[in-house]
Amino acid sequence: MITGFDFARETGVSTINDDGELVYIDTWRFFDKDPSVVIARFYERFQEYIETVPWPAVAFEDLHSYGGGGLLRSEPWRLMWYGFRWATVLRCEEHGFPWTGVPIRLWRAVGELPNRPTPRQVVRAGHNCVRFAAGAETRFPINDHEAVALMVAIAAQREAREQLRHVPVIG
Amino acid sequence: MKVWVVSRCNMVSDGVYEFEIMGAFSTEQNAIAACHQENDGYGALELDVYQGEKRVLWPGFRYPLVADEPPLEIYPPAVG
Repeated sequence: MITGFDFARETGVSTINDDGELVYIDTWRFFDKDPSVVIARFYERFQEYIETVPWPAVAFEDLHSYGGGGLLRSEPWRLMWYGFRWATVLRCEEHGFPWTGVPIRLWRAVGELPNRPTPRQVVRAGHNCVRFAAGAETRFPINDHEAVALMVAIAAQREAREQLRHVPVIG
Repeated sequence: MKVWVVSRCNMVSDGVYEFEIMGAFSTEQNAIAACHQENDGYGALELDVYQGEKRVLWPGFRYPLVADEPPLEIYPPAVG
């Protein structure tokens, strides 16, 4: 199992199993003007979720890879993103779950997605590396946050697998 | 005469990998049959041939259980 996140007030969450099947996709919405409250609610929601997953690994988009542009220009958002990141890493460390930040170049490499893609479109854009577990394809279209979370999960899983396929040196 | 060597790539610590030799076989089919995980691969070596002349990535080394998927195409660094 690996769960990808797209951190935001509307956080995209997507979990794929070891066979690459989509088993969970949703948007966690946190509405409060106080970033610390939003972060605390994410922290609680994350704890609730990982109690339902047998052995999650966690991946999130690596904001450092955005460079200086985009959403990173917004100071409140940046602080909130680091809050989400802190909460995620803390929970993972508590439970011994592996976690990783996925650079944008990797998760974008999974596939350019059209706006508000359906899961089927994600499958095509994702080079058929996601299949759908029973019931998981009944909810679509997925939104942009969920699409990014899914791409992050796919990219992290592929990266992890490729790391275990080094070619030995002889001589 | 060729010998087919099966090895398993393990991560022993962050960023450090080892190759665990799982066996040596007289046929490629037997080597493939000995690959049980996606990180099990095999390559061929000529028996009685010294391989120490130069260090090279093992030519023809394969991971047979890996689904055919295109390699990750790395985009140029994103701006904005």
